[in-house]
Amino acid sequence: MKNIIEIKGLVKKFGDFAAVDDIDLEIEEGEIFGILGPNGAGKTTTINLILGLLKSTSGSIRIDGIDNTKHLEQIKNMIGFMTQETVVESDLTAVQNLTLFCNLYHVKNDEVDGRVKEALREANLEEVANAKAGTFSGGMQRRLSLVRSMMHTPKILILDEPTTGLDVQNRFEMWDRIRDLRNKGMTIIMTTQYLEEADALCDRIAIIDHGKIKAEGTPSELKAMIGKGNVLEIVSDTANAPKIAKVLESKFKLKVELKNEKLSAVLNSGDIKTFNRIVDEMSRDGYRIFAISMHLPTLDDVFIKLTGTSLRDSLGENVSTMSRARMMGRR
Amino acid sequence: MSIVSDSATMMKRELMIFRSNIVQNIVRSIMFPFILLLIFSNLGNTVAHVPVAVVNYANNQQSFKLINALEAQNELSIDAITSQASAFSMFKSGSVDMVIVILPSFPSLHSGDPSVDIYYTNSQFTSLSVLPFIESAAERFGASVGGSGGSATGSLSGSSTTLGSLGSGSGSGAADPPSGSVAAVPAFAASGNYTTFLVAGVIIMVAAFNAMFGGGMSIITDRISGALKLFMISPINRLSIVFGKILAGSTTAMLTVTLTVLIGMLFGAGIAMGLVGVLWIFLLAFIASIGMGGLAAAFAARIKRFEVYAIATQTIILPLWFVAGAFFPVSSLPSWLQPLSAVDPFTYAVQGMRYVMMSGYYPLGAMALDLGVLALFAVVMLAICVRMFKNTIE
Repeated sequence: MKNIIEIKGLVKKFGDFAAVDDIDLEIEEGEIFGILGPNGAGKTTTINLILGLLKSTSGSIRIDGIDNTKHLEQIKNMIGFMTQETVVESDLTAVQNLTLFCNLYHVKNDEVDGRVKEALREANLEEVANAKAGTFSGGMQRRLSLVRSMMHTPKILILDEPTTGLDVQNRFEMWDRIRDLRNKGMTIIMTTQYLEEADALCDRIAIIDHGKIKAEGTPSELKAMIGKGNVLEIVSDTANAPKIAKVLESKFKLKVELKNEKLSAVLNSGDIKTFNRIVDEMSRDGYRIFAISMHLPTLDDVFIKLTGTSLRDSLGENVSTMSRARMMGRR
Repeated sequence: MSIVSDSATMMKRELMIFRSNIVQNIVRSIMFPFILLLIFSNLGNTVAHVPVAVVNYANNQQSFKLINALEAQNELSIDAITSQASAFSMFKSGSVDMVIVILPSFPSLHSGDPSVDIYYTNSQFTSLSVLPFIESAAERFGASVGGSGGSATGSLSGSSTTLGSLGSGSGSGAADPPSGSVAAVPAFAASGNYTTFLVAGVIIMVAAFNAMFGGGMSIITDRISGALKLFMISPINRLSIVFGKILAGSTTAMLTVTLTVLIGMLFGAGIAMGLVGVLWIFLLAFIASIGMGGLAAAFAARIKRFEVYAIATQTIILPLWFVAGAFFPVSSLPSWLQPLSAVDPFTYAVQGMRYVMMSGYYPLGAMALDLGVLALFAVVMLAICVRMFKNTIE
């Protein structure tokens, strides 16, 4: 597979602040590539740079071999984009919405009707073709938004949080649509704040934090970074957590990661007996335990390990300098 | 693809949105001028200090008394007592609204003889309302008042050709004063009233508001909704986004202008030039609203919030409107405001509309000045807006 997007040494500074700090990325043709990161990590800036909405401070982005600051029209025609908020023209009908985007992308007049029809069929909106988009449900609007972003038959589709705000049923439907598109040969770049979504959907994932890429790989590769076994997780309070960590390290020879009141450690795969003994130990000594669990490694574990925060509550939390230094070493 | 077809795409989008809320938009377009006209056309329009030039051929006791009596009137101010030629050149240049000619026969008891001629322009509604004062003063001092206004109208006014001679021949009309006792002569064929005067001001107001709330506002809503981002990443020319919006704003302004003209006519306004006058109104309002649209878009390029935008644009638009003499003649403004009205593009739009609506004649010089100023305004505003918009994109 050839690389359809090649990003080299990409830097974008706003004043002194580097929102994107020396990123290298290669995205293969026909894959679903996920970009994950806490709020303010640089995901949106990276996407805006790819879209050409921002000019990079340094570094280059090549799309299908073409520098994205040159041959703008050609580049723009290769990329489709669906915004995070559903931006349909709510005062216009579905047909008007789609026709408008054909015109914006200079689709030849005699092709417009055919494409609009096809898109309506694709999005399952034929029956409401002439109703105002503002009257549609959230799922319908999102489907309209998706087909609308492809009126010019782009090679690359960029989806910014494509399922945020959708209910479970619509989310699964959206997943199917995205997979379908990939199977038809479309390259898809998506950001998401749902790790299970990235896990289920993406062929490869890059985790971004503080403008840098912390890790990159398939979901299984990333999970393997945690270790081969199951993850033990204990939630206590800040006073007890260090004590528990000590016990786990001395008695059970576990390598414990401690983050405030949360402890995690990797158990050998399927080691239910060790887990039982830990539970016994904890209850015997009367530690304050709020939660204790054992599960397979998830992307969330990877995410916490790499960024020091869980994705959902990342806002405003800081990563301790220690774990950051360790991360740098690993890269 | 060219910027023209891209602008057309964008304009079409704006117009489709406008059309999708057509009822609401029409109601809005009607309410605004309706309320303005309802309130202001019923205000007592007190007139003060209509500038007048007096030519005194009589030079007798009675005529001096008449001039003194006129000077005592608050409604008019005698700017000059001078020769007929210079009085008419003042009249022509607009520095006085009226010329009162006291003829040698004054005071005459012969009802067929002319003794006072009044030449006035109807481009300011004020002249009409001071006529009764002058007539009654003249009568008091013995001038015979006859109903020979008809013959006076026949001799000097009633057609633009007369005005043409007035304009070019430096008072050839004046050399041949009309007959009649107190002959009130509209120098231009017109039926001016305050409503007509006001409608011209309201038209420019609604056009400007429409342009401001059409183009600029939609840039802000699109930025908030995220649609602007989608337009920017599409291959259309970026400037066509803003041009399309300005054009759409000015186009919808024309609908509002049409409705305003109709409402104005219901209130009793007239258009002296008829259908051609309507076309002139459209042209003047369109160019003005393109300029306003450019100004609004320049604001919208930098302002991210509705509230700030609304305050900023209204802070600009309302003073422009007042200073332009939309309610009252510029001459009634305080003297320190008058220079401002000279640089206010609305002044020229309003002035032009009053020529076509009230005078029924649009002198070439005024036409060139009005169109020139408005076109310059539009071009400068578009240039500023292009600059601002280019900067914000990066």
